[in-house]
Amino acid sequence: MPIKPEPAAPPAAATPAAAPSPDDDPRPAARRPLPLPLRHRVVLIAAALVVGFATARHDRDGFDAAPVKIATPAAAAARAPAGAPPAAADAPYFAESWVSPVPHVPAAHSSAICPLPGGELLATWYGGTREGAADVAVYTARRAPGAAGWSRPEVAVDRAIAQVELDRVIKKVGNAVIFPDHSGTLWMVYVSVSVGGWSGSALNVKTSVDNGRTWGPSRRLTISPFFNLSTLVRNKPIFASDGRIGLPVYHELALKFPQVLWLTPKPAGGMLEYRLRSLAAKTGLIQPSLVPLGGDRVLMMLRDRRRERRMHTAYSEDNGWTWSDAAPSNLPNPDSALDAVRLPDGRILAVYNHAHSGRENLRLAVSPDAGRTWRAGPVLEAAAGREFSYPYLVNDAAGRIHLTYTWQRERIKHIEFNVAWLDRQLRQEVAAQQ
Amino acid sequence: MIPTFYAMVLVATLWLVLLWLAARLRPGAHSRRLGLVLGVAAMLLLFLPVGEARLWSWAFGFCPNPSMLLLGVVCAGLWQRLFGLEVLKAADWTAVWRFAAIAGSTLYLQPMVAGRLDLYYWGWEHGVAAWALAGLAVAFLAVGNRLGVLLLAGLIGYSFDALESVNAWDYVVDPFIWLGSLGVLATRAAQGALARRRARRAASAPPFGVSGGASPIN
Repeated sequence: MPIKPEPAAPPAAATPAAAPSPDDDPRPAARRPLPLPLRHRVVLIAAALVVGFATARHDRDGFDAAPVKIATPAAAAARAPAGAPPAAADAPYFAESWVSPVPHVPAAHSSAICPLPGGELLATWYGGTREGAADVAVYTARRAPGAAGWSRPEVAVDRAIAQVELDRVIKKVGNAVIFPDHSGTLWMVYVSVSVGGWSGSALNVKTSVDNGRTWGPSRRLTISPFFNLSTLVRNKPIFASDGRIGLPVYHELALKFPQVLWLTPKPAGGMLEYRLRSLAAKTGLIQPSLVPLGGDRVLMMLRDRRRERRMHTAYSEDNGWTWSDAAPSNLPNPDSALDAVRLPDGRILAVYNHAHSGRENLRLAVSPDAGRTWRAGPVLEAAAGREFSYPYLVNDAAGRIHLTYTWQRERIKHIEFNVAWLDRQLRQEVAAQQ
Repeated sequence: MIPTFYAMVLVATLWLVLLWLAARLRPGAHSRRLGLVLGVAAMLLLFLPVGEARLWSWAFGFCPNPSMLLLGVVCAGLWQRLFGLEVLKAADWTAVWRFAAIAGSTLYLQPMVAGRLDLYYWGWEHGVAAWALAGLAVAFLAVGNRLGVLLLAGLIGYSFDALESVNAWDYVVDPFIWLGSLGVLATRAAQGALARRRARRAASAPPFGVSGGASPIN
């Protein structure tokens, strides 16, 4: 469009008679000539081009592409320092313990567990007088290698701490997960709410360089365009060989759908950058659990909030960057959280509530074909009228599997077992059915 | 510690609200001195305790990422109230409201109507986002519209990480300006429709009824 030179705008103090009144112009207001002088336009256009060029040059190569490769549990275990001796994997092993002590808090929920170098375990959960209460805090407890019990819970972050660190009013804190990055720095991603209920959640990051004994200040992530509302976290991340961390998160306001938050750590630890991939086409499915399948394949398992009440699965062929449509599996899901890991032999182990409604049992299931079909396995908990929920499953470097979950909304329980125990239980179930 | 850009927007907004209130309460009392006093009052209001926190802490918790467009609109209003200078002309205002309505509707409503798209993601792609903002700014500047200046300011803010958000789209649109723009455009549309209706009625009214005093009896 040719640019016509226009006379400079009259000074503000000039009399109205010196310039035509806008009211005299018969054209619509949006089409009237504008007194932005030509030389101003030229300078501003040049500035826009220079700033645009300079800002675009800051683009970091490769960040717009899928992560190079997702580290499978076997590869991750090979990098991590060994914990318990691998020989322990041969004999069936099963142990239970309480992560949170009895007089701790009236309500405890949404636990996560992370194996640390040297065989130590670190668990986190939130607790207080009730879910969403102002006195709720995110706690951590650790278990030393070989020890049977857990340390006393310590507050990692509560409402008051978050309020100071984030420079804003915080109404409550909630779900938290912990995981290490490639440099050994431990990350905690936790939910906080300033306005409304859980649909008003936002995510915050804390990091620790001493395996969770002390935590750095919180940093708010802006990942939702509308007031940064309604992003929550529940399950463990996947790790790319280029250092990126793919954390499964989900959206709950208006529409409910899964998302993958890609966190890029600095070489020496801490957060360099983040960005979010939304999967808004998968409405009604939340709390994704990601399982690396080897190569470029990743399995996503989803909680079903729709009427169908079935656990859903989706697949990525490019390390979690793009995803297939979600399909229902043969496992029920009573609108409750679930989790899964890949076993060293390639099978997928899931933990879930085996019912179409209620959370009165907690059960394991195994898939021999990357999550396409499932066989229900041993029942870990079952009691009418009770709640066993929000399981969190991880492998450690010694081949053991660790499970934490909410017990009756009062305590956090930890179960540790190995593949030999799992296979024995599966054999016994088959024998019992025959 | 209050983030600088956020504090600027909040002070400017409070200042504008106080000036508007003063004009409503005492129409003839406007002076530069009063404007300055109200500016200082706006700054002090940031630290007003509301419940357990200061006012700015509540506001920051609710909207930590006000856009450059919002700052521009507030500053234009402030300038007009303080100095009587019309920074944005009628066509600029029209462009601002239309841009905010279209950009906000596209960004905020897209997951509901086209879930497979992920428009917000592209705001993290520095190359795409920077050139998109620069292109929009150039387009509006080329036709002499001052919305281009606000978009350029958004691009500069993005390049300096002025907001807590690192997503480029948050620098040019936010929920407040979006909802405000929808309100303005809806009001204009309603006013336009009313005016057309009145014009149609006037055109179709019988000539003897125009003076208002005629009646069939007379």
